[in-house]
Amino acid sequence: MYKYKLLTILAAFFAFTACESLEEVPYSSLSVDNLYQNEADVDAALYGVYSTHNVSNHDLWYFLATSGPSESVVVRLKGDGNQGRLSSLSFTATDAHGVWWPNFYRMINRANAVMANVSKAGLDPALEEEKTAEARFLRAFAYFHLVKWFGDVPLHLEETTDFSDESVKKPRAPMEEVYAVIIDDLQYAETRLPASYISAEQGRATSGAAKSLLGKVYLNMAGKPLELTANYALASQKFAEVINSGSYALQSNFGDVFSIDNEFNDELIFVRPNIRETGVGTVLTFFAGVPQSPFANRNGQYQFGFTEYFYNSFNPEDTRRDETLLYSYVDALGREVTFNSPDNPALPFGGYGGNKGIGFGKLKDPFNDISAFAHTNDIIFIRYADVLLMHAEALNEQGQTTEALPFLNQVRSRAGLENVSTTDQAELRDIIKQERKWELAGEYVEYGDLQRWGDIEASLFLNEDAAVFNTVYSPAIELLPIPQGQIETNENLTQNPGY
Amino acid sequence: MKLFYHVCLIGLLLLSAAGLRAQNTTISGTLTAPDGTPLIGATVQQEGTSSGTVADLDGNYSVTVSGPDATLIFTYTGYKTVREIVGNRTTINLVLAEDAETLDQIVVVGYGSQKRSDITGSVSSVSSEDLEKAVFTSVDQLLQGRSAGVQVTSSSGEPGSGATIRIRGNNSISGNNGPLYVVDGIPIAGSPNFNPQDIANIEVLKDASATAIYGSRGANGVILVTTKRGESGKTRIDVSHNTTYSEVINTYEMLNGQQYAEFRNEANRDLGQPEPFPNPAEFAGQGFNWQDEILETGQRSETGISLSGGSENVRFFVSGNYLSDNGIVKGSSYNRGTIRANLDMDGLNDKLLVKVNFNAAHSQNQRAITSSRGFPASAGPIFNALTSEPIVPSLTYSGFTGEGNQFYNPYLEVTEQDDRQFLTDLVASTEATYKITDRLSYTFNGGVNFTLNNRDIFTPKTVGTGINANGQASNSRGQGYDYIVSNYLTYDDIFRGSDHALTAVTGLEYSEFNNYSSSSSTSNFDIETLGSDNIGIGTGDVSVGSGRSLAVLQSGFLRANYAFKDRYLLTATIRADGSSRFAENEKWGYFPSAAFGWRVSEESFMADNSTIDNLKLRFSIGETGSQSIGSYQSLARYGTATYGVGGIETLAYIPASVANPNLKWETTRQIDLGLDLGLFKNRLEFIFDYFKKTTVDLLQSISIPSQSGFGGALVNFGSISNEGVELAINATPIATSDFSWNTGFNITTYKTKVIELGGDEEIFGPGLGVNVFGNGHIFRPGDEYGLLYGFNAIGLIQESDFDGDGNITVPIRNNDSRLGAWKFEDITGPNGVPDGIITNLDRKVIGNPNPDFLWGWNNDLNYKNFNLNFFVQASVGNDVYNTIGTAVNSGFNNNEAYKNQTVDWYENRWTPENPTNDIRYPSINSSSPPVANYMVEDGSYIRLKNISLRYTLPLANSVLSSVQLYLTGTNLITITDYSGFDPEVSSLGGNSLAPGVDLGVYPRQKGYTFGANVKF
Repeated sequence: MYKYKLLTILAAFFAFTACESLEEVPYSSLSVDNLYQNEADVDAALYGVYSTHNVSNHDLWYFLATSGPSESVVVRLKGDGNQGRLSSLSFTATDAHGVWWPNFYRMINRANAVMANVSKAGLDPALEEEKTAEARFLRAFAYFHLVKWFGDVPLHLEETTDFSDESVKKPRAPMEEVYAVIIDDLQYAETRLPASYISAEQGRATSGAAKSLLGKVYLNMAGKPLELTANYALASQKFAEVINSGSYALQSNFGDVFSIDNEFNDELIFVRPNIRETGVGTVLTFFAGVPQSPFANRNGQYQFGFTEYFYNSFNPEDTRRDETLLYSYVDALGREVTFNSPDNPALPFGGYGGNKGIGFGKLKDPFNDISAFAHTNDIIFIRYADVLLMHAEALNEQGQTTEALPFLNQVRSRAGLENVSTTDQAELRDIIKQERKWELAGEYVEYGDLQRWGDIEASLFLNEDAAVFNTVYSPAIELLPIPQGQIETNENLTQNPGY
Repeated sequence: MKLFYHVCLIGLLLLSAAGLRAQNTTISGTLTAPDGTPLIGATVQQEGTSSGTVADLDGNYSVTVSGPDATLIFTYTGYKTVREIVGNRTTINLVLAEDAETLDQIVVVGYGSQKRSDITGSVSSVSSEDLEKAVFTSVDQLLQGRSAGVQVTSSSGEPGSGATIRIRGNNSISGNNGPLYVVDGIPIAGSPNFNPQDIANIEVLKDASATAIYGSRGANGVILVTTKRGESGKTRIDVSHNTTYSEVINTYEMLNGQQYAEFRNEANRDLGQPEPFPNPAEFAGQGFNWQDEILETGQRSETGISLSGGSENVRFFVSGNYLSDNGIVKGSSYNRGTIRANLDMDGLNDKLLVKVNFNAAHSQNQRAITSSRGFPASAGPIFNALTSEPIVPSLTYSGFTGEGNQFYNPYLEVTEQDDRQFLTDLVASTEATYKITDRLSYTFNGGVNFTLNNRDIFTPKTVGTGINANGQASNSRGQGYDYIVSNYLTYDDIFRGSDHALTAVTGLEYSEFNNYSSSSSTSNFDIETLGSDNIGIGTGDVSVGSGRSLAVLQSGFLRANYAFKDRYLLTATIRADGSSRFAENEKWGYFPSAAFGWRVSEESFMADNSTIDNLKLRFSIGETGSQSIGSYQSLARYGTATYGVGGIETLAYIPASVANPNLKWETTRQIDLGLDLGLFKNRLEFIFDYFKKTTVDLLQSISIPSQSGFGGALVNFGSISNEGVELAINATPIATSDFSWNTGFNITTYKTKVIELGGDEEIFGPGLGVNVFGNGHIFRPGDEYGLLYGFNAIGLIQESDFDGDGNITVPIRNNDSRLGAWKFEDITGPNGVPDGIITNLDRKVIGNPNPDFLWGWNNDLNYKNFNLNFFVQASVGNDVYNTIGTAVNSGFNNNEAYKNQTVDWYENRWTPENPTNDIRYPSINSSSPPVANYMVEDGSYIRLKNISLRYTLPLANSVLSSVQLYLTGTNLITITDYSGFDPEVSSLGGNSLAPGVDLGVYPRQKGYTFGANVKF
């Protein structure tokens, strides 16, 4: 009797303690097993690759690492912050440009992940190639930034699936190898990507974008530091294909290129589309905005502007000047504001306690009541005028000065300037360079252009911030330093010389 | 005024009490053991009251009782308790019989209880009597200084704020270092949220022998909380009320209006800019003292009632408590209501005992200090109260300052911003024990713990981050549903009657942890009146999210206690934990421990020793774990993002993590050597422990080279160790019939050392934030835990530091060679030698946030009906980063926005006329201060944490059985060299990587409490 009682109790004892599986099934996140089921899934994964370029306030550091180190841009904050150091080329390994190293490599890994998994969706082979081409375009886009900013960089061409040292601690690969991968990716992409997309998918990479980028890659390889001058011909060949495609045209009015009412216009070849939602808008408009200006109604931060020197460099006839620089305007309170005007000292335009720079006119979003961090201005990476000027540059460098002129003059005449007719290669070179500075000011090209031309030292003498920071030229500043944090986590990385 | 009123009221009550006293009778007598020896220190108490006394050295006592109906209870450890109705007697002499059963205090251990004398592990106990004499809001606060080996740091003085508890140091770098709380047998997540006055006992389990029964959750120590229960007999009703008035302990002296105008003029002149305040004298006597504007006298009141009693087979304890705490920062308040019902039922001829416990707590916290890290918009009102300029047009001004900078108004922050945090906790459990035989019993314990956490914040367009957002609101909801079922068998004393005694417990347990969360936020509020109660009004960017997680823990456990001749004790424990949080290759962990005890005092050679009553040596060894892994951390997961393709927000998939099939718990190996010594009839007691523990397989978020596409990963890497000693001394130096003095002192010292970091040479703590740049803590193999790390300022740059051509001759940082700027030590350079320039390589260890000693000293003095309790607590030898102090003591200019400064700095700053070399006083317009030795201060303190005077009215009233009145002071005296609000601070308290940082938290307060307890 007693025995049975005990057994009953023991049975109950184990029954009460249910045995559940210890296997985990996450409720709120996806796994690779339930992704990549169809084309929509692959597209979502591709958008994930694109989205690596839109990270909180990193637009500021993107701007300051591309347009900042030039004579035309000046920053407001002259303290010991990142703004001044980037703008004055007093680079250090802990500066904020470093946030872009992870961003670019995140883009690369996500692109690699798409390439590794796209076949699971069972798409039509041509369509699958198109998706792979898009991933490869984005990978090339990221590597091109890396190689321009840092020189030799580690090459990761497979999706990261474990954190072994072999997987994550690769050393830097020579620039030539990186360029070879970029060219290979873009050549794959240019023949497989579509020429255009339906309106709901505008902003995705097109074959025109791939060709334009490939031309730009060749042009940069032909310039400093590699000086593979044979690539000028390859570059002009690609630009000619883009121009002859008839897909693109200049806007007749320069200001329309940047208007938020005219997005995805014919002049734009590759952009990052932004909308007024946090995470998919740009914060750059807020950082550029002048307080009380009618162009960014969320009390802009006015972190950077253009120099007075740059303003004065314009021909007064040039229609681009007053679109690019907010020299004088009527502010949100109806007051007339003129940069540095002695007539209205109460208005702080020009900076509290000193000249800080002329407001930035290419990013205007006056109606935003959503968020300071979510402006709709698209980030323009490549536009037709850029391609025309690069084409002119590539032709001129091959000695085809006469052939170069029409492309240069297309851009000039839109700006209301007279045609150039010189066929002196050196003279024309200087004219093209200056034309790029006027046309593309603040469009993330300045530092790269100076690198390619070997003009960084010359620019330094005109750089207002460099004067404040006493920046002395050294070959080190032809490249940005590898971010300190990356060197600390990967002992196989070496720092660029001079840092 | 209110204060005065209360003093008067108390006085009146005291007077009326004196009048009542005449009705009492005094009983006296002698208490002896059967052999005739006096029972020194035996307790005599009137039943149902707290009036009582203890017997003196001759066993004599004298006690006042309310009348002939009173029952006296005579108790003495190791002897049978006797109850006597007084009747008409005035003398009661008693011989108490020895009682082997009660020879010992019963100590609750995991899944059972044990006699104190049989305990082989390190367990310290705190009883409700120790706790009743101070004012506590939360359960985690009350252990401060009460138990050796336990460090309690409350992060701030905010009403309802929690505390950081470390038992025997930090075991982990990135994992959780907090102990496991077990309330009436139910392990709960986080720290308990209920009325501390419901607590009967707290046991702190410290060594591996005691904690191994909790396996993968035991490594950080276990705190067992036992709540009060009813006893058979007359229903007792206790009503209590107290009110506390509190004020800030210390404030900063900031520049007033005129001084500020002068300071700003000087700063601008220095930069070659026009003076902003051409006539400073016009601001004489003007300007806001923002500290005064946001601080007020805090008022806290607490009312509680409890009923307990029952019949022979059903007993109950029911309590309700309401707390309202309006802290010293305007706009902040903490209100909490709690209800508890504990029910005990016997059945089946006393073979079945069922305990039902229910506790509900709801708190509403109006928070004034939302943030103290983001700069400038969300630096928080305390930071802004110190730094905001005093000259603005009005108290409620929220516009641009004269120079066009945004003004962040601290007064509006505390009064206009609405930040509500509501917490609801329900804990219910049923424990049923059935005695299958005399020696074997079966226990079922099932419990639930439901938590709801709501936080709603509305920041209007006049405050901080609301300014740019045009008002912003957020709602967040968290729900937790935890279930636990345990079943265990207890075999008691199987070989009873022989020299061998064996007790064993074995069982199974299943726990489930469910969490649900959701959040939404938006901005742009054209109408602000409805605040966060209708965030749909906001037309700004909307952000919504939700999440759900489930974790499962399955366990089996076994504990065996063996004693030979009551002298040689052995305890062995093992627990197996299977956790869903562990990775697929490491689902099960096993945690064994063993402990040995030798009761030397029971040996025959000690029998004649009349001094030593108790001497026990203890040794334990074992392994415990810490499974502070979030759910799903070992899996390869994808998350989502969006991209604006085509101008439309479109869903995107992104890889979020890489699989780690080997992720597992942290393992802590601990040895403990202990000695318990009781002298002079145990009137003097020593408890000494030496411990050493080593934690391996540290869970760490390590940085992965970003070229992988990922930034970090959670891995098991590295180890740290803790080694230290603890000593507790309890004594009853005086015990006469009129006067007794009990005192307890405990002291702890330990060192936490980093042994290895899995290949990393060093790990840095987080950035300190708020205008101070850089990380401030370092973790390196061979070093102590979390040493303060930064630049070493050695003076200020003087004229003499320049050569004849005006070139600086000393190493400088960031090209800063201005006179009066900081001069730093050039420690090394890229080539391992000083390189003549100050860079991040020139940082070194500049302080140690770990105390050398922690001690607590409790004293309880009884004189007739008076009781005086005072409790002193100290932390000695720890350094604190006074980062807020440096921000207001350096005259620096940040983002062109000047900050107010202290008078101390302004009067002593470097000027050409006052070329000081004191690093606390750099010249005006100093650069943003990097983390350096000038912000390190000695954070040692000795605090009169609590002092309480109680008077018990001797009543002969049949309705009221006792009335006790008291005055309590909290934090009345703090002896410290620290210059900030208070040295006990941990702004980054949630982050184990950053101990001892003061970023300007809710200031701690000193309080005066008046209260009464009435028993019916």
